[in-house]
Amino acid sequence: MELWRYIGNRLLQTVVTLLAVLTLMWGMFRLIPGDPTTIFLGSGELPPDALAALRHSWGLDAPLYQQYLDYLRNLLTGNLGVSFYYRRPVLDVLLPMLWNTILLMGVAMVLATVIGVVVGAYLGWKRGQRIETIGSLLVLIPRSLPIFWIGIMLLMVFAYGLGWFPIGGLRTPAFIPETPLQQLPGYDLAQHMFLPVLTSVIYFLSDPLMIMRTSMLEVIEEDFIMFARARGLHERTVRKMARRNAIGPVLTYLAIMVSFAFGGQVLVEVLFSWPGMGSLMVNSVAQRDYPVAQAAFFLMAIITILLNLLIDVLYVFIDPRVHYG
Amino acid sequence: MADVMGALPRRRGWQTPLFIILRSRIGATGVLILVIFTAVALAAPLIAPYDPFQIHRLPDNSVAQLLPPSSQFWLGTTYYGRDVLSQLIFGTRVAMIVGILSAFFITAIGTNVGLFAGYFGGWIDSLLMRITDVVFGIPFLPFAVVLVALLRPSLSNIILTISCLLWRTTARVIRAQVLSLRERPFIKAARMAGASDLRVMYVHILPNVLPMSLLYVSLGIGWAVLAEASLSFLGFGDPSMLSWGEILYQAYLTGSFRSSWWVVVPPGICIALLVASAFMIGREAETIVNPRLRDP
Amino acid sequence: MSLLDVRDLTVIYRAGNKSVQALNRVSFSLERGEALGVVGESGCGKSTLAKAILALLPRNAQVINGSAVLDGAKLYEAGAEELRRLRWTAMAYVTQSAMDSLNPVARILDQFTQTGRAHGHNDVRSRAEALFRDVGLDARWLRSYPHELSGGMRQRVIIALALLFEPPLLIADEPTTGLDVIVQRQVLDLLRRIRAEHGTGVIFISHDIAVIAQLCSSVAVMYGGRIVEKGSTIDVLERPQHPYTMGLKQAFPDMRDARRELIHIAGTPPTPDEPVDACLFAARCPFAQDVCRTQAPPLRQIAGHQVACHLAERAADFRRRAVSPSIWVRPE
Repeated sequence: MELWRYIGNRLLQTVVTLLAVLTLMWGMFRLIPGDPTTIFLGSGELPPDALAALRHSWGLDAPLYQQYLDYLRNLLTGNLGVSFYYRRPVLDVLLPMLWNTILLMGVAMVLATVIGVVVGAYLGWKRGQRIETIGSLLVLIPRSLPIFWIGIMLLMVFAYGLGWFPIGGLRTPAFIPETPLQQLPGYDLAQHMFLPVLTSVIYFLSDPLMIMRTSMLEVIEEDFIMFARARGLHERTVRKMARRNAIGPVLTYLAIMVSFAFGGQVLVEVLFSWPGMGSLMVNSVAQRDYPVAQAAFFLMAIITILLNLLIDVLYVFIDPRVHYG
Repeated sequence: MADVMGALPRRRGWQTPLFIILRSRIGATGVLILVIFTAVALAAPLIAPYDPFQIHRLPDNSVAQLLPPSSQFWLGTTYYGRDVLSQLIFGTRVAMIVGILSAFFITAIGTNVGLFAGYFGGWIDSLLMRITDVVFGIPFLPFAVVLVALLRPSLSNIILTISCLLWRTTARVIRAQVLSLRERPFIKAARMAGASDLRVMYVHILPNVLPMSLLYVSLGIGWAVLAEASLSFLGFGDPSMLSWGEILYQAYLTGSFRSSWWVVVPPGICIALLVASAFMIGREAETIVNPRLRDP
Repeated sequence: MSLLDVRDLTVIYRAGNKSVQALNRVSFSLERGEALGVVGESGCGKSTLAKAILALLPRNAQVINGSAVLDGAKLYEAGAEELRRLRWTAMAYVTQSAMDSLNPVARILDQFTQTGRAHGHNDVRSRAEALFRDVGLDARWLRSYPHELSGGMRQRVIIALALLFEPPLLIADEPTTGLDVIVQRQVLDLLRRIRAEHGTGVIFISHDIAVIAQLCSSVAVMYGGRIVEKGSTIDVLERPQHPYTMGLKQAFPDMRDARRELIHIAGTPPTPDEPVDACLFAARCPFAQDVCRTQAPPLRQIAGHQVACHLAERAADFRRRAVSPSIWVRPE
């Protein structure tokens, strides 16, 4: 039952972390010089008392701590405010974008990790000398390129150049499937997803790959691998055992990857005009639409924190030697 | 040079990391690239053929827009008629400044946090690690976007933002190292001899975690350059300075990347080279920390 | 036919473009049910011998000469699948670092099951429980992970695992090193019992001559990758003919003679990179003559057992002088 105590502990930590991040964010947004009503001042639309009424309705004239408590209460009830720009509840604006982001990011991250692990395990197992220097240099390249530049290159070649893929967006408006391939369900979506996902995968797969490879190299030197062969196990069983033991560090790394994942996602969404939380956040910051920016950022942070929790818990199942806490 | 109590060599550590890095081809290449970039950054006004902001005009007085590479403009011109090569050269300054300064701050903050947390343990450790957890929970680029937008996009704000967040990995790693070093006989001996905590931390432990810190300095350069490029690409870069990311941003905004590869490819390659050199050095620095990784 | 017949086994290790002779023309045979001890300092090639017989040398090692025949099967001519089938069913391996021998992320029973399945037995649970009883472990530990057991317990798990298929040959490489004396005694008793009950042939490798004396009826002394003395344990220990064996004997405390001074053989064992035509012990031998440095002594039968020493005829005289520690100190 130590396990449950550990999970409980981590959950508690997660809540504390969440609270801290929320407060931090709230504080940051409150630090903005001027208040949100300035968006209306520019156009000179509203007379002063209407402005005051607006401020009051937004709770901007209440004392600071009151605003904070209101903020927390609103969050818990799912009230994320109203978008200054869209004049609609933030939740309405945000939700469809959320699914778009989860779709793209989820597919990309999973693919990057899986491909990275599989190739890394293979490279580590084979341990060819030639492959090492060339391979690690080759893998270094995607990591060093800005993710949006990879996207630009792909766009230039495959979208603008060859015309195989659309240049952006989620779907083709009024898409009429012609060929049998195009009539497959989800074809249009897949076509639009292909380049953004490819961009993310190229960028994010090098780290899991190198980590898995290094981990594998260390594991195959361990005594229990030799002992497994001494027991007469098939090579493929030994390899599976090696993989299972080597994957720990990859999982640890995933926590770091997760905190950079949204960064990559933002850039990809902006570049490919993908209607997701990332592009929404960037646009709303530029437009000074604080409720939306705040909510989008909050969602990204909460997902990051929850994923970290998930990874921590998963790790315990991967490696039974871990001491809880 | 270990003393009787099993101390690790101290002063000698300074010289050896550099030579280990230089001895390998990868490390030497990384250092070479870094040196070249530094030289370019320093000598920018002397090397650049034109003023990077200068708008060039054709004989008929129209803007020399998106001209392909020629003998006059080695890497062609941008949408606004500016020389790409000059922009690239001056962009090196921004990259180096941001890279080096951010890396320095990241390492300074991270190493100290790790030192204090690992050495003192107890509530100090818990507090510092909780803070680190919070920072880890914050997705980097989105936060950077918000912070820079709030503060006003400028080079110092960008450096501040990057340093504010990216110290987290260094902190965790250094802390782990300090935890294991703390139990060594020579540390215990120093404490028994009456050395103050600060003295033990900075005079005895710090030199031994320095190789690890160096590793993160070089990784930090890589992260910082990429971060600045990303921020610029999103439009939150310092408008008064021309960074490589800015060049790409303008290429994207004006749609010139569709047709004109010379505006897009060179900046990307520059970023990649600089970042890769940082990671190459980092990789070799890692073998100092983990000698098993060294080539036989 | 002997259970195991090793002839002229020669193994080298490669590091960069250098190579090291780990085993040089090692030959011996093991009968069914016989317990052979292999004793020597670290670096003499004992562990390499174990791995060579199992055909599990590391990548940078190579058998460049010789043969090993186990129960009729030629190990170095067999294919990979045949070797795999032989492993554990015909020969099992017990090592020193039982900590690292077991898969850290799998439960112990699962490892038994896995081993069983690799050889066509799907359900080994009852057998595993019986084996645990045999080695004196509570069956509930089957459900544990290796790190939850103490060193001594893990060692017994390894031995239980080794007996899964009742192999005719058991290679034990320093199985008691690192264990406290009580556990050491238990492990030795266990091995003795196994031999008695199952008729298992054992190759017991150790640097501890005292431990070998307790278990093995015959012993081979290794030095610098070669066997320098071989015969029945009683014979070799009571009347050693090779100066190295004499030194080894004097280096270990004898409870019956507490006043006897322990000696220390100055110097370290060599690691030659090529076969050297000389006696490898000559540099540290107090009795060395010129011939020792110019000609490799062959293994020959003298007075009851085999020894590789040019001056073996004077063994009795050497034995007398070997008792005093001063003779072993190298003159500077």
